[in-house]
Amino acid sequence: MLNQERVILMTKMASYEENEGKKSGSIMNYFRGDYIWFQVLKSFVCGTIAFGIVFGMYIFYDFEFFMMDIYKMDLMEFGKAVLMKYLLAIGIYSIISYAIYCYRYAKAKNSVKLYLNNLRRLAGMYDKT
Amino acid sequence: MTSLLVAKQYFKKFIGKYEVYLTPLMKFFLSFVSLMLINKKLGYMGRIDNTAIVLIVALMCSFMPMNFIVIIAAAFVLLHLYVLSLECAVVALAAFLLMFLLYFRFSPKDTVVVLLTPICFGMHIPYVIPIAMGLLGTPASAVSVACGTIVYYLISFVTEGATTLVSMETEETTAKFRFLIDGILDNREMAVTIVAFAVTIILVYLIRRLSIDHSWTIAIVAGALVNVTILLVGDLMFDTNVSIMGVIVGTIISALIVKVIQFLEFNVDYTRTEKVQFEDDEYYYYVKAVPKITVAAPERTVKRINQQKKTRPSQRSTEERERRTGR
Repeated sequence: MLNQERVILMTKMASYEENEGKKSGSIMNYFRGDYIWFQVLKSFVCGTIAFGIVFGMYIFYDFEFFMMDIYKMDLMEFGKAVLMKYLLAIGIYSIISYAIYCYRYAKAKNSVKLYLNNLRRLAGMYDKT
Repeated sequence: MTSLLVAKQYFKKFIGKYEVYLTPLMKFFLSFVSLMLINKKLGYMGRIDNTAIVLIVALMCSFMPMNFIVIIAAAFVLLHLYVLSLECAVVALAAFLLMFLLYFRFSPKDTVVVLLTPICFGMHIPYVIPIAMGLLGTPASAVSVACGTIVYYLISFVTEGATTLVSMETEETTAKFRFLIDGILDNREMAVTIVAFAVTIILVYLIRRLSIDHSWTIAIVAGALVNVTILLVGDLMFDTNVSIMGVIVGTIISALIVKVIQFLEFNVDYTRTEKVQFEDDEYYYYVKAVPKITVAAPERTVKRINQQKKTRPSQRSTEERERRTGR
């Protein structure tokens, strides 16, 4: 005999497994610290490439003047200024990505917890019958 | 109204039944329209400015993830710009890379907005996007819409400045570069549009989340008004030369389209709102429940009444004889 409540629960769980569950499952394969730091590291690499692109565009924009001034300017000072800007930009970007991935991990943990509760409820339903 | 609700039910049922075929069809349509628009607007590379090629690529896109369409569209834009001028392609590539590296790493689902925003600009109804994203998305969608707006204005600027770029000497690489970057960064119309869209998205989102009756409708009207106001004030302040009638008519049409989206997505009956209050050990709950308007689609059952089979007299007499003899 079909148990309507059980069928509804199983359908919900199957839908979760098919969609959100895949993503949450892959997140929960990591420890919290490992997941967040791995993602922040990826953001760091992406941010560095992005900064490189912006810096390249900035140099190329005034390339002739830059080449003329390169012998006059204090390269150490220029390097320091660029490095400071890079650290500031990458710092802000890393903090933002840290916050985003902390939130995502917590969300995935909650959804997996809910799924496990449903699984236990389902097992309980089978035990009753 | 009832007939509209029945139509909605049929529509939902139809989509549910044929989802397997409709999803690739929708992807095919989206990629075909976007690639055709790119070819129409840029069209510098003759090899890819061909309907047959577009059809083949769109067919390929229909079986791929949604983000693949965005990558293909970006590749088409870059190829066209490369034929026009290498500097153009480099600037566009830098802009696309910055978008993908910095933002779409976090929200890959939103990438389709980058495609839809220029398409809506091409159809003169770009105001659909901020209002719709405010209703269906989150405030973070403002960044995706801003990226789409930048892509549209980048393409428009290159199209308008194509003759200037071609007339520049090949040696003037840095001058070309400067011309492009200045043209994109100093585009006041683009800046005003980005601000207007961002404010609209945030406002629509905040209003539709309020616990008031008709919050979605109020959000649409408020979003449309704020959008028009910011664009017109921006025109007065920065002389952006936007068409006043175009903005007003475009916003009205956009609001109507979004109203249709609201009908499909959020259709509730405020007259039957229930307010309940209860408590448990930790909290007091003040719950407002608004029922959805649903109508069961009438099931059509066709009754087929078969007529009694006519038998020939000779056949009948044989059957009677058999019955009598007990065979």
